[in-house]
Amino acid sequence: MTDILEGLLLDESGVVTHAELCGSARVTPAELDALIALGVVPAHADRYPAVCVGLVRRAARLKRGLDTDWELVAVIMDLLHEIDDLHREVRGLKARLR
Amino acid sequence: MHYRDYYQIMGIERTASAEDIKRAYRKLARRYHPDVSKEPKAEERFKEIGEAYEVLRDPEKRAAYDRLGSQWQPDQDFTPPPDWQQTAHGAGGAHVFHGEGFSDFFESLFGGGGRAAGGHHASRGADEVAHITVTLEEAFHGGTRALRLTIPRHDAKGHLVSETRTLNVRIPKGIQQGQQIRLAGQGSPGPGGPGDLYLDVAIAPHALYRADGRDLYLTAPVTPWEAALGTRLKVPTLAGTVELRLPENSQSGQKLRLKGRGMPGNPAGDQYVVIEIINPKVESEHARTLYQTMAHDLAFNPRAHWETAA
Repeated sequence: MTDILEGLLLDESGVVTHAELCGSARVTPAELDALIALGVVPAHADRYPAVCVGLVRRAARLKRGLDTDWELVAVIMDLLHEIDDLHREVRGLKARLR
Repeated sequence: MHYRDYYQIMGIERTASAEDIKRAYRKLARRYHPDVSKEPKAEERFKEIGEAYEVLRDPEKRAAYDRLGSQWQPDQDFTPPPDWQQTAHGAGGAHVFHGEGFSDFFESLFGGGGRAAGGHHASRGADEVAHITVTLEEAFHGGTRALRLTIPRHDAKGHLVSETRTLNVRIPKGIQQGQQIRLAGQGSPGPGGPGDLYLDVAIAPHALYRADGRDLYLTAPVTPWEAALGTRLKVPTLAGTVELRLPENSQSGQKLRLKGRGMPGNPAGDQYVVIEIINPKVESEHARTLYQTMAHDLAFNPRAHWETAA
């Protein structure tokens, strides 16, 4: 019988520490602090909602991929967040029309 | 293994300056970065561009790559020259694209460093991402799902090969569209340990319910007389059928809330029952007479407000 893998659901209910967040998203503690200072990641006392893993991974991916600085990444993250919200709303409206 | 023309991938001349390379890369990154691009196959294309930039931005790697000569054609069969390890493998420096999977062409020239993360996580294997679609029932009740995944790994000789693995994964109760599950240590292997596997979860459209976050919406078709006189409806929920009182004078579009009957969570979502009045067709003289009687006896004008507003 193969083992059943239990993953971490990256939502508001799970919790990760500062170090776990750095490890998962492959950023240094200083980089994570920069993202917190810029408001990309909400400040917490070493207990971050697991949803932050996805946020930091995306930010790190943008920084690497666009070869840019954290300030610009923060702006892009805000815009992408807004686009995600709008897509969600459009999906909901389309579903309501079906 | 096939030769990759990094200059062609980036759309630049072999004589391009470092500034030209950076400019070309930024232009292409804006177009193909998977987080911002709508181009088809953006992710695949962006990996190619990232790999090309990884080599051309680094003077040592670029010089080593240039020593291969310009006689190669894209996708031509390729084997590194016999003395390659001595002349070029040392070309190093920090990888910009740590964590991304590079081609076996790259790996044969510059080693497996491109797959590892930089900084203090330098030797962990790459993280991988897989997409799964679960039914709304699976998301509601939770369960397990067998996943067949093709994951790249290095064989004993250091070559990049694909490996198919089956993983049994628990789907957490109450998972929602677009959420991710992280499976620690299930990504690509690396000298410092494997990376993680991220599952992007989608919920398949359902024949009855529409999910909006933790709330569920169900359309309840009712007859005009049920809506007018009120009734008790047997309403399906994902946890079983419940009875719902439809009040008198209900109208199409009205929503009745079944508190806590949506997706599980803290707090659980609600199920909304959206009333839709369906009129029976006039398919008999008797039906025609009934409608005519209503028209005559009820004196109802649903557009009366047009007259007062005009």
